[in-house]
Amino acid sequence: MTSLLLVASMLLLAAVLSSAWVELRGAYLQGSDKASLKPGPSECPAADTLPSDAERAAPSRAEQSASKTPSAAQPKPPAGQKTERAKRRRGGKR
Amino acid sequence: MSQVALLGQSSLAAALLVSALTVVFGALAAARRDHLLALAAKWGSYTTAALLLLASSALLHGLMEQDRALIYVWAQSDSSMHGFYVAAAFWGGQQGSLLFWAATLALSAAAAVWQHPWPRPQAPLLSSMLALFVLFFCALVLFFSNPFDTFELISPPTDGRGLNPQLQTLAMLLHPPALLLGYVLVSIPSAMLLVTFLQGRLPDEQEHRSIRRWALAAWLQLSIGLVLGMWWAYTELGWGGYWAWDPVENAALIPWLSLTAYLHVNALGRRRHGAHLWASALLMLTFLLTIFGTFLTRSGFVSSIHAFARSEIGYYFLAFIVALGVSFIALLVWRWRGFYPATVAQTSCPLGAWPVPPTSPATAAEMQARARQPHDASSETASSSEVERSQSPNSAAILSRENALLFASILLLLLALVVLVGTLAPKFHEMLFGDELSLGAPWFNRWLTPLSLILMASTGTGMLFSWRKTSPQRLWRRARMPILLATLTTASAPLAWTWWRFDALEVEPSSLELLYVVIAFWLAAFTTVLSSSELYSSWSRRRIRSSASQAFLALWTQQARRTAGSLIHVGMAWMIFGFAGAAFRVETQRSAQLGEQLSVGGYELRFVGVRQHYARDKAQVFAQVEVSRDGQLIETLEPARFAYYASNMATGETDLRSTPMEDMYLNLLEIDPQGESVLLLAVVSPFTWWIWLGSLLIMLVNVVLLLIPERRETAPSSTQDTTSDVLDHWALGPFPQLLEPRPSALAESEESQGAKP
Repeated sequence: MTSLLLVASMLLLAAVLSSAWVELRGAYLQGSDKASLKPGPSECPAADTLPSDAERAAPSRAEQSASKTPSAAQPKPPAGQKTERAKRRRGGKR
Repeated sequence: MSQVALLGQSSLAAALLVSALTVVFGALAAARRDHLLALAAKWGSYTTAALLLLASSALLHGLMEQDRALIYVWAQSDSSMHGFYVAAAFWGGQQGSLLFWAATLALSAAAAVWQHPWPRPQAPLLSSMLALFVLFFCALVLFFSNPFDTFELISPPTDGRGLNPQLQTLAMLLHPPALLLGYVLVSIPSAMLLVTFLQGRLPDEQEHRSIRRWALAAWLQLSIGLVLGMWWAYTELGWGGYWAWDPVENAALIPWLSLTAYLHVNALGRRRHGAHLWASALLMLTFLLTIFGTFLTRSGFVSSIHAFARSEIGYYFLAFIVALGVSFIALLVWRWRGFYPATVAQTSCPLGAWPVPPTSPATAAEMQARARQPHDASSETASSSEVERSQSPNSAAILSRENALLFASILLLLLALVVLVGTLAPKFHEMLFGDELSLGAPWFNRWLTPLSLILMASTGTGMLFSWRKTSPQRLWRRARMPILLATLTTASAPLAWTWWRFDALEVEPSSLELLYVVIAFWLAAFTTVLSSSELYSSWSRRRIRSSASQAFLALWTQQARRTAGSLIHVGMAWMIFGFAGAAFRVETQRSAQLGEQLSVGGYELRFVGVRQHYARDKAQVFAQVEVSRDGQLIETLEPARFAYYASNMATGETDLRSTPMEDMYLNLLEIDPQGESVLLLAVVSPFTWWIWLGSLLIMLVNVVLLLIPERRETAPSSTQDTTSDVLDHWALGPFPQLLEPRPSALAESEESQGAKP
């Protein structure tokens, strides 16, 4: 029984070492610049933003930008055709 | 050198080398922000764990196969021992237990690194910090206390010396690894904390949760270790008690107390900024105390019954404590300014840290909105609320849950301090004055009993307080029903006493002892009633909208920490009840001839015969004693004496009858070779059963709490509080129909939540 445990431990060590070799070699071949942890001057603050803050802040900023700037994804109505909003506004004036 | 020794030595040496490299790689990766080095540190942690697992497997294999070339195998086992105990010999001796410590530490470190979000810059620092701890233990095992040392003899001994017979019990199979694992697990959150300190900041919300869960796991392991140690002392040592205030027992209790204090302060979340620092200090103190406990256990600095673990390596632990303590204080001083949110944004990128940006207007508005939201009754109470903190820092009133938790933490620390003083005072007295000073159970009881009762009172009343503020009128409204029920229960105790005929114990405690016992009974009843009512009310509120089982599940899925806290307090109350019962304990030593009857604490004991049995490793002699009450035979107990062949030692084995009211405990001290007479130790111990029941409840609840994934913290509003709502319901009385809200209140609630009619 303990012989099996011993063999399993050896196999585990071999698996760990081979995985380490594969990942480290892959990272080395990709180049350290691309995979660097080092943040640039602009990304320095954002890189360590607390996850909770980041998660909280991300949707808010997206919503803000969506409300302030016209969305490129949203199709514009054809020329001459009034939008529902414009119709409502006109109706309101009457 | 045998193959096992060679494999073990080389694995240990490789683990030492890899952990040293991991320390360097992790630190360099954090300093240079190099991804490749960070990856190397991560895989270094995993490789160290695998190597130490291999070394542990080698030792276990050597023990099970009885490889006599190893000195450790010879010293801790023999061929006649049962397989379980041979495996337990792994941690039964000094060298093996240190290897166990190193291996479990490396495995826990690998788990912590694996669990840590990657590739955040803290990860390589965490790998480095944990590898430093592993390196210390690897060096200790390899150079000073090596279980793979071999005999330099031509022919090794034919058989081993065997494990200490008193350690060959089920409790000792589990007690040392549980306690050691508790010590190991404390080091993980401590390392996480040290990493954030190195970066000049306090843990963020995610790290805060992670640290708390590791600390909770450590608390569970320490609790299991302590309770199993008590159980072993009670059933194996044969003196009828479970706690002797031995220095080594105290060394395990002190970090448990400080870790409990930490968990109480941690419940504040990030409500109060000062509490965050206080919690961090408590966690570091716990870590230092675990190492200090090991120093006391291993060095022989104080005299103890655990003398089998003595050696010279204790002083290396002392050096380790000093180095860690100095580093922690230096970090606090160095990074002090960074712990305040206003200054964090101004700090330049320190070692591996990215400064937190100023909170964006959108985030602040969102946080304001969150704080204004009506509080969901199902959410957790403790939470982070930076808005509250920035608007009114530390503005909790005196009568608030925040202050109750801080008060509990101070009391727990005071208890730890008293135990520490009582443990070290005899040694320092001897060093200063040259004569011996003995501080036994009476000294500890004199100081710790009143403090424990104050702590228990704060435990009960603490649950009555709301966050931020509680008016005295509201406090009284919530407290009056539990007070009434607790008083009724305590007042009826003399009737129960007479009915159960406890007066037969013929114990006359002093008036002060009696006062303490009455207060302890009252507090146990009060805490049980209060916690149960809180749970019942929470369950009833949920039952309005769902089935009984769903409401029960919701207690665990929506407010797990609060539910667990209430149940753990109930368990503590039961344990206090059991401890208080010791005031009426009766103990007597009597010799009896065959057929003779003895009277002890209302029981009649009759020695009726002897039974013998020869096992593979020992000869067993059982004395058969009939236990009767009022002429009615209740049970036949069989205390015994075991004679071990290998070690040539004899031990007394106890037998007991345990009931919720009292334990009847017998130990066979001597037996006549012809089996004609025996010398018995008989103990009648009221309410001891409740200690084990309370412990079991605490451990089960803790296991469940650890299995439930933790929810993200939400911010309650400052004026509403779920606990206060629940207890306000209880103030109406213990009647379910009164606990149900009015239909109009339900409609209002639905409207406020935007539900459609």
